[in-house]
Amino acid sequence: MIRTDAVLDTLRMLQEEKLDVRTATIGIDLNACSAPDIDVLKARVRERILDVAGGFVDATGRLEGEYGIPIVNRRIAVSPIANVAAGHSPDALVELAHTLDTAAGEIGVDLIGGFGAHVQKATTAAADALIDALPEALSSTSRVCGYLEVASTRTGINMDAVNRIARTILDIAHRDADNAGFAAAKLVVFANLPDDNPFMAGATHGRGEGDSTINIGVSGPGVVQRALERLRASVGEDGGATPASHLTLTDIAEEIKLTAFRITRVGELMGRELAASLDIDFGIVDLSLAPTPAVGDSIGEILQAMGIVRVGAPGSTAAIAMLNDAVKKGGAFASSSVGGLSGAFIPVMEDATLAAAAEAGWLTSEKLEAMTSVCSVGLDMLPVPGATSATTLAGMIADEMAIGMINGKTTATRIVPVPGRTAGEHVSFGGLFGASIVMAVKDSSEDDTFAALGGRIPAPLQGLRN
Amino acid sequence: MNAPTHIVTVLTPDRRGIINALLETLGEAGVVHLAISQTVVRGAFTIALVLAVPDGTDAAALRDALAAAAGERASASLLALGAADAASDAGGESYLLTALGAADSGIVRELTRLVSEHGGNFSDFSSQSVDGSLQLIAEVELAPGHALAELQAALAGAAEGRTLTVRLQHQRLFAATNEVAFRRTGS
Repeated sequence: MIRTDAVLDTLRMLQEEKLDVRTATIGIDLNACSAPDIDVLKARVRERILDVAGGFVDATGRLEGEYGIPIVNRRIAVSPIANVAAGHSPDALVELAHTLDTAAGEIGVDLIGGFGAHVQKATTAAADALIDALPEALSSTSRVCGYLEVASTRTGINMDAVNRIARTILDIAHRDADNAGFAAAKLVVFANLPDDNPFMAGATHGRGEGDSTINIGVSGPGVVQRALERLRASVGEDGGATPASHLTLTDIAEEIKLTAFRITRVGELMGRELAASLDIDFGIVDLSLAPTPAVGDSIGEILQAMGIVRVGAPGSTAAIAMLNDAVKKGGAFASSSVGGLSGAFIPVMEDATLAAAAEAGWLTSEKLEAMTSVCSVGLDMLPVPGATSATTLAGMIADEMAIGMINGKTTATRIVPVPGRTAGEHVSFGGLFGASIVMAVKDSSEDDTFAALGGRIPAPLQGLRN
Repeated sequence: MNAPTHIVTVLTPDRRGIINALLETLGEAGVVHLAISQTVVRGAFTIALVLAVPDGTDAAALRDALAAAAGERASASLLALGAADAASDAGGESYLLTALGAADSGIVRELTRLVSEHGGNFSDFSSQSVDGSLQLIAEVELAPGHALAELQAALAGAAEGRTLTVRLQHQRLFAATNEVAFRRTGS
């Protein structure tokens, strides 16, 4: 039998540290559903989703019972809809979004991703139609999530697309003004989007993926936070309130690696079992630590456990860089199937500690941007004043895309202009989407013309690797 | 290849050198040991030895010699294996039953009764109560087609109203989180 202390370690992670599987996402290829008649396309899409994912929710429930590990979110990711529905009008794409929404409801999942397009170099007619459809599609459905890849290390940044999506985000938010612009929280703008991202709102079943696959997002940040608190308490000189002088950052990095190893193993085990039970391929384990607004499930609390009492203060970027790296090292050793985004998320609204730091003035949008240069993914769930100009939004997106482009990593923005609210006012979307103050954004759009020049920021030298 | 013929168990107060004394005794008798399981419970040394005893060897005398080698207060017992004893693996699934919390009177008996009633077979069992706290970790084999959810519900029912957490989880979870090599079981 397995050693008693090993059994107890695993049970402690479950019982005291909230070990879970953060998300199980079933990826479904829809390319074969393409049809010139929108009604035929919609029928094929619905049939395909129900056929592949019909047993998905039940299977995840059985696994939860077998292993005693909760699977927090069940999602569907589909092929980029701009490709699936190429040749159709924006109105037809909105109809298709409703079909996706309904099918996801029939399966029993809360979100379905893939309503997106790749325009990092140029915008095709199909992508054009999809972008036009985004405002209505996202504001009139509850489960559909969208994305737009506007940049990559190999292509540079399509600034025309950046400008356009900035205007589109404002349009989406203002159409959904009754819900404080929530619909904009279902749209992510990417640089270097991986094809196997299981996390919403940017999940997709991209190029090179099989007919269907299971991708897993590992446990939330609570496990790492409690492991660090336990480590500090074990060497603390006054019950853990202060660290002993011999506790170093190297010790903390080792503890994070060990914890990441274990949570990745749980993800891989559950993912493989789930895929086998559905008779489809197992894809990847995404190592991203994805917080929720719940206390004890926060990246900010991990940073605090590492000694950054006020998240956003100097040292925060170094701390999250170390966290991100240690998680990757532990996870990569645990699994040969690491993929997706695999980094620490810092979504302001979805992380109560980050939201509190923003309200206290320690965490600014500029500091967040700096932190995203060393972690995944970007300016995530960032509420900004509803009056923010499209030019300013485009500048923010371009800055984040540049970080991804130059560093050869995924970066993204999920910025929510909150109609009618100004910096410092509160906004709440409830549930997993959380709450925060509206973050201040420096607006110099009257003078700046950089983003509005459009065109393409050329690919950097880093893209020339051959 | 040697086939197992007997199992000997020895119980004695723990001291240094017991295993070596037992193996010396087996060596002198020309008996091969095929498996050993040994632990110390509250200062008492217990061991089970799976042996291949050659034809013509007096097994009972061997048992007594092992008891003598183990110490003055040692006791030993002998089980001769028959052909039917070899195939006990029914091809079931292995689960870990864990119960952590208050060591209420009768709770271990209740849990073992439920496992037994649901067709489970304990293949390894460790339980200790210290200062009113129970730590039970047991490996349970469940036959194919077993009603896992029913047994889990029954076990949870037994823990209800007590300060005790009872779980029955597939053994693979604990292997995955603690062993370096990943045992691929799925696709």
